Amino acid sequence: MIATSKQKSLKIPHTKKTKFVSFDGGIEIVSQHQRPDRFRNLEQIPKDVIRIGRGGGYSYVAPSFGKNILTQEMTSFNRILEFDAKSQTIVVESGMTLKELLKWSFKKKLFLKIQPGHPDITIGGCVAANVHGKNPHKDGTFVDVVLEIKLFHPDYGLITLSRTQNTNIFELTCGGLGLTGIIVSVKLQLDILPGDRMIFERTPLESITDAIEFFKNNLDADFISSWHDGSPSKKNFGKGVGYKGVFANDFKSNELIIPKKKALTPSSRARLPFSIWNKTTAAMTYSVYRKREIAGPKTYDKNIFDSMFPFGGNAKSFHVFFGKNGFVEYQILVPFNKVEEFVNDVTKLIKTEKPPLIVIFMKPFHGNQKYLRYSGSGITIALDFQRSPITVKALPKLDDIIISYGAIPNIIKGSNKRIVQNCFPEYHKFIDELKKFDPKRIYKSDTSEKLGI
Amino acid sequence: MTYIIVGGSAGLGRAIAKKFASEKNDLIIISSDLRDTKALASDLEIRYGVNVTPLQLSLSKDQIRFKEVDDALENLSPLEGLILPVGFNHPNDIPGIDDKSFSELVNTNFTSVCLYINHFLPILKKLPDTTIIGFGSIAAIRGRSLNAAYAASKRALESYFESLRHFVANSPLTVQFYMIGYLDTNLSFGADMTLFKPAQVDRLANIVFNNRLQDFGTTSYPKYWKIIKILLPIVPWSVFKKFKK
Repeated sequence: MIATSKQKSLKIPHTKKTKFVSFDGGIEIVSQHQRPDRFRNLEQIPKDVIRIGRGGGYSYVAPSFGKNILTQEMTSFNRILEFDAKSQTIVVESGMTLKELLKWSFKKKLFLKIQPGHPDITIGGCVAANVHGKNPHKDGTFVDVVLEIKLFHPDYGLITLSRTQNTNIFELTCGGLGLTGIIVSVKLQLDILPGDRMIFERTPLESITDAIEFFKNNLDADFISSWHDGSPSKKNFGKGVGYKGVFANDFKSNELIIPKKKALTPSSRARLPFSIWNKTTAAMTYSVYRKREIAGPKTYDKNIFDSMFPFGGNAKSFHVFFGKNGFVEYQILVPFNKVEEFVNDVTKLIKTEKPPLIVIFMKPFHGNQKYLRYSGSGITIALDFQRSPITVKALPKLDDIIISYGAIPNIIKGSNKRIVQNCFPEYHKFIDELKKFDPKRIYKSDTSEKLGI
Repeated sequence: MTYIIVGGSAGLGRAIAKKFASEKNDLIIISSDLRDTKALASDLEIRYGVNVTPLQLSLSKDQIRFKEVDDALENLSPLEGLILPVGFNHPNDIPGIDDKSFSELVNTNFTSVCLYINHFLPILKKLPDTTIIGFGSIAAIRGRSLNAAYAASKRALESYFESLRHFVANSPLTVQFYMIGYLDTNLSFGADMTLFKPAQVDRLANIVFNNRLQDFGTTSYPKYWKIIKILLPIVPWSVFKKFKK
């Protein structure tokens, strides 16, 4: 039971019913929606109302909404509160987007070194999901650039969290899916931006295991990732391209180049009524695309914005082609010493069950795993499927493989209670600590409910 | 140059503050909650390198502590304008509302706005190219049961601005009054907007800045409200009384 009947009939001023949709198109829920633009708005909600904070709303699942849960969209809290040029630290409100922050910090030749791929993701969202950036092996995850958080909880008011103050709540909040309260502002460590573009190098990869070697040889790059053909044909499966990127050491322009067109939203992503992707089209497309990539120049430049945010540019079509029905992504962090075996087992599964796996993305990772954070050491493997009954049928078998390897799933990309319970060593500890902090558990979401948190 | 923005922490006031700061003007931003004005002041100072003084002053009370504003002005560049994007409504604002809420509505939307004008009028009249900008509401076109005290205050305010413009005619002080329709702010969030799409506050803020010294008197935003302003008063009572929402 998420909400009381009292909550269902509650009339909160300046709220409306909104249909929220997850970015992957898999979850649609109509619920109450508030867009606070002043502190008083946060305080005016009765204390027993079940609620959850929301940033840009780009998670592949529903950590920012749920049935009979009030969503508090924090996008109007998007101001810069403090900047210290000497220490290169900045305090921003949680609704500030990565794009807005980069627009400002670019002028100071500074940047946030850990940025996920969509420019409209907010800083609060980055904290709550403990996102990763372009080379998590070198840079770690978002918690590594967070110095302090101001958190609002109606029972405590505005509290300061850091590595020295309310330490455990700080740890629970970073990667805590917004379940400790509303993240109001965040103090971040910025880094010097060496140039206004990245220089990339493409490497043809014949298999997924080739990528492991490719990563091992390029662990210090500023950007490192690979994609691989996911179609089950023996000829092409696993073939792909590896990308290594390093910052240029100069600025050709003092202006940040930003695409004129808006980045994808959950609704614009779902604008096609049908999926263009299927096993055949994916195999053909990725075969041609790979040939074109290999035939192109080995090195090339890309401006900073496009390097940081593929969702603002060339990743658009890929996601739109999944159509209204959407896609299913599993992102799993597999320990280094188990990657080859894991890949072999997944490959067997793909070849026997034949789910419409479209593409596989990989990156190396390094860090300590805590609570429900997507962090640890190994290789992150994202499997993007067309949403279909065959996919749904194959996923429990994939879960079995993931559990047997002790891999970590990325909750905001999609997972379920069984896999989360079995794979996160601190799953129960997270719940216990959360309950100690907030015995009434007023911050909940569709995701937290499904995961039994 | 310095502008005083009363009600400047959210919605239209925040958008106006951002626009004027981006054009390198110093600001004094006044609202009833210092947490909001302080956050906005920091943001504008860091982004645009201007001086912004945040002040917490309630508009719903009878007494306004003008000394704080006067003191803040002493440390800033010369005053060029007073901008009053003030709007406060109440979900139970119908005839018969309790005295306290009624007083708050009238004080915030009318009396305090006039008191600010009265206080700064002598200074602004003396200086060249100055402006006072007020904001009304389409709710004031024809009174209905909802927003009764709010609409009455806004209609009174429009009249006060007419008098003010008449009073300062042929002086370098410009007086403007914007009759505004639905804006995309937190106040309209959740309201039934089936017929009218809320206008963007950033666009209106640009218009306010670009036309700040134009002597046009009263205007409507969005423009189509001009027509509604003419038509709504002549709607027969038998029809109008059914407009409950």
